[in-house]
Amino acid sequence: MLVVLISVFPFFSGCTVLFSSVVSDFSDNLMAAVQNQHDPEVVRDGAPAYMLLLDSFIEGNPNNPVLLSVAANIYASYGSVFSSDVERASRLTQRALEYGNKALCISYAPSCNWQGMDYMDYEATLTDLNAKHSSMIFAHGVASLAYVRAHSSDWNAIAQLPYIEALLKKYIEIGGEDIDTIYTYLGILVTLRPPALGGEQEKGKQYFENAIKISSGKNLSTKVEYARGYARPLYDRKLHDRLLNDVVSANPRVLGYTLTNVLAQREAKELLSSADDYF
Amino acid sequence: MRKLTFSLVFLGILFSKSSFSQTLIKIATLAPQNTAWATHFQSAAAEINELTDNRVKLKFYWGGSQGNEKKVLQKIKIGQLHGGTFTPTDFQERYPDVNIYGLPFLFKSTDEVNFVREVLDKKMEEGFKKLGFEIFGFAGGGFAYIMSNRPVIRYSDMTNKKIWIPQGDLISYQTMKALNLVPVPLVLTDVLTALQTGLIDIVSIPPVVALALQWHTKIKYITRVPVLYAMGFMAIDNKIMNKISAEDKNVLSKILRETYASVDASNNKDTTDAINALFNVGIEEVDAIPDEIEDIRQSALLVNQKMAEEGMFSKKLFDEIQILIEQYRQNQKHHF
Repeated sequence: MLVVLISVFPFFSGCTVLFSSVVSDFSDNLMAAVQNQHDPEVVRDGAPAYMLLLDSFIEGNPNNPVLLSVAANIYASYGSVFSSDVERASRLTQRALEYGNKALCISYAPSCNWQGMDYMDYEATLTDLNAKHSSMIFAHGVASLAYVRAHSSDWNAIAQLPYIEALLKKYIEIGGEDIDTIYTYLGILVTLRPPALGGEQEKGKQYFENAIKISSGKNLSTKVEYARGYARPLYDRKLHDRLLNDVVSANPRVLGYTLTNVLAQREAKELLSSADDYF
Repeated sequence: MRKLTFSLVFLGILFSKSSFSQTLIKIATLAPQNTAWATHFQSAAAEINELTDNRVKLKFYWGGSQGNEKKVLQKIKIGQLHGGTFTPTDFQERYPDVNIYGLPFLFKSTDEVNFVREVLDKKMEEGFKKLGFEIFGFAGGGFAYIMSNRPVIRYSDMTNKKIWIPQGDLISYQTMKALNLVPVPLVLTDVLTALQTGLIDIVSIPPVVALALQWHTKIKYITRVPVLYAMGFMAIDNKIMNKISAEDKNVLSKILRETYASVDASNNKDTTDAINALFNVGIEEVDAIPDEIEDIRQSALLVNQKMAEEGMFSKKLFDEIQILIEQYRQNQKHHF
């Protein structure tokens, strides 16, 4: 869950439409540099400056949904992945959620009323979402997931999980671009509970395998989540170790996925080292 | 003689070695590893391991991976597992008295429960000893409240409606039948679909469980009438407990008791937070008509008495609880 959130960084490039060509080039190049960075600590130390810069752009363009989405993505992934401090993660993901809510509300008015809406009414409001809303849905979904993760002891956050799942399914239905990431998120969501408590491990397996297929196995974080969400609850040690050893032995330097992959390898090693205790 | 002495010394070394070897206690639980509950118990296990210098190790099997509780009890019997976390219903056949706290419409408030538990928890625990189990206190799970697709305000709102009860819960089944309601026994994992398809209309469950299992996506109303009190406990087979030294046993008991006490203490806040979370996702609270609830309570009391007389649980213990509850209610009257 932690690592897979980093894969939203590609959506930074979405803000190029907003700026002059000089800023655009800067933004695209910066994002490529982040995605291809093999030392996560460089990103951890450097990204806040860019987040502040984004905030300043939003100060000047408070109602621009694309810009708000970009900010939601980076606040969500940074808050989840790089903030070890609980309070800080809570603050950053809260901001991510505010940006994500506003971005979607501006581009899709029914979402402005989601707060406090019961699930059945909420589902009905998803009907008119379409491809033009996809980047805002993505940002809203990612920000919501990051928020729930940082507030996992809050029942209000836990209550939102099925809402997020429905939104992510809608993203796939309308043909959003970053399908492999969304399939991974869905895999995580449906496997959060074990089968005995209504978890849907087999469905999760399908989601993870779809994600691996779509990214051609380039995104190693999917295999880490597959091991955690499917192999562990089903006590399938063989599959668990195979998936994680695949991750550890792979070359992490893949264009657009290096940062994600380096972090995925760290998590894979941790899961492997605790496997004897678990199984 | 020298040979014999040597042999005895050698034997002594062997024995002393075995007494320092590690005892692995395998415990099955329905709780997933990614929950706050699991974190509490993993910390407890680490502390026990450290304080016993690695002589006692607790290994958890998470998420119901060892089968349902009935299967877990069978595995404990043949020594494949040594313990598990349970609810009173799991011990319905072996130790029916432990179900008494969870009798339908017995308590009116958490304060009443606390008053009774203060007196009777120890007695309840004694019963497990006779069964060959050690337990470490009880953790309250809060009251099960009525949740439904249509408002439940009066008794007639429940008649001719299909009401879920946990499969195998004989006490709830008897009560529903006696109240002329329609119980539909289902396993936990079938409830969400059953709510969606209309196979059931009403569930009664603690709010924290409703949220964790995402049942809040299929209900619209909550009626905050305390239907029954839910609780859980951990039971470890005395056969494995007897393999560890008295000193290590004390360490294990002390830490697990502290852990259960801490989970128990946090229950009230969890329940309140979960109810508020239900309101925040649009679940509407409806107030039942007090007189109608009192009528249901009186009818349930008669059913409970009948079940006690039929030997479904100890009549003596049931009477004791009734006296304690009455005592609490009288105290409250005088207090105000």
